[in-house]
Amino acid sequence: MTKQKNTLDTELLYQKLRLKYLHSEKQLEKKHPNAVLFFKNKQLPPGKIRQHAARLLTSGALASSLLLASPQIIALQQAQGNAAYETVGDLNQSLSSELAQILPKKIVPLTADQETQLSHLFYKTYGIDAVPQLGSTRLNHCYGLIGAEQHLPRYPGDTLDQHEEYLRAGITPGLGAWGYFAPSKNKLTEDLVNKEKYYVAVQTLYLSDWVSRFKYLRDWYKYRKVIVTNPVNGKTVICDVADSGPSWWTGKHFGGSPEVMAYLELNVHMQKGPVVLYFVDDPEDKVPLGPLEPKS
Amino acid sequence: MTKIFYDHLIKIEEVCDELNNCELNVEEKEEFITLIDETIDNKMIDAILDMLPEEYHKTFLTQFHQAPYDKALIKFLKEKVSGDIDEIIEAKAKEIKKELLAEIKKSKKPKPKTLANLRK
Repeated sequence: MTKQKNTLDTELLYQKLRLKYLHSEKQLEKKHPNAVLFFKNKQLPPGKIRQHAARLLTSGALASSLLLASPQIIALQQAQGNAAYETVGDLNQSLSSELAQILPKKIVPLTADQETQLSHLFYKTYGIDAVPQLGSTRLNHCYGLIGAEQHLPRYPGDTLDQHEEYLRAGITPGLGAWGYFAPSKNKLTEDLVNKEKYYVAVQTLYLSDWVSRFKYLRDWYKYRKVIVTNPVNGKTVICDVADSGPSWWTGKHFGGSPEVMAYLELNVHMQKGPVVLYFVDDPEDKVPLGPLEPKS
Repeated sequence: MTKIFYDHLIKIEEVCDELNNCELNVEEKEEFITLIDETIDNKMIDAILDMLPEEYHKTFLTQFHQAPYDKALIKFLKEKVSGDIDEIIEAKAKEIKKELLAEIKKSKKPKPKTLANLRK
């Protein structure tokens, strides 16, 4: 049932917020005039620092920015003065090389510097805002081992043979942490099909504030978009969080759906391998789920 | 969007959630969020400069202007500020959040009475 939204006196709220803003500006100028002068000389009002930060991040993006044109397909564009990657293989190889320079040899917590470098690398390579922390939450790991998961039941009565591929992976006997994706088969949209197809499991259960902020974090993490990169081969896929786990005693830090593991080429041998997993900051939901590949 | 080095401490989602629960069009919401962001950033800069000894202001502002998202800024503040910088920023953000939520609450219009209620 849709929650009824409140009606706001928007004019009143605008006036109040504007007053607060003007007051904060005045206070800053009164107490720290040299700081305000510093920003004035840079032609930047202090309150606009966030827009300035966004411009800096945008201008840091490299020549080959990628457009996400349709689900699972993106176009490589030639940027001004720089050669674009000829094939996705070139792109993946280049990314893999750059990741090797940033990531530690062993799976250990990353330093703040490494985390920042990875964010810049993702933005430079894909034009995607990828961060280890989004808002007030971060996972216990952003670089760790991913293991193979089974298909998840998408609606009551969903069976393994209804899923398209990788049936050998099987289907979980129970539901994912957020239950069914759809209340019935005929309400299963293409979007929800993709959410199950490209799902990952993350260790929300081990977040220090999972219990104290459960109500907020449970909703926040549901289908939360993440970027998952295999540093060995540079293959990258945009996924969503649809399950919780794996348990710490497995030695793994994330779980990947059969499709995710197959794309990353980790559905072989021990069916696990190292990945970088970052949140995708995409408030307008423009980044589609699926592999990041050039148009054929 | 995480763009400033202290964003992980300010936990302002509750304010955004409150706006999401209101009938606003996209432009109105964007405008409010911009005002909220700019107010918070002014107050954060104010609070940080209050705590940071004046001799380090120029260094901090220069680095802040060059890379506002750089986590090294937190490290710098931890070295130069006496007291727990994380706690201080969190407390300031909590104070601002409380004020903003109060303004949003005051601006809510009462819900129209339902026919069922009128019949009671």
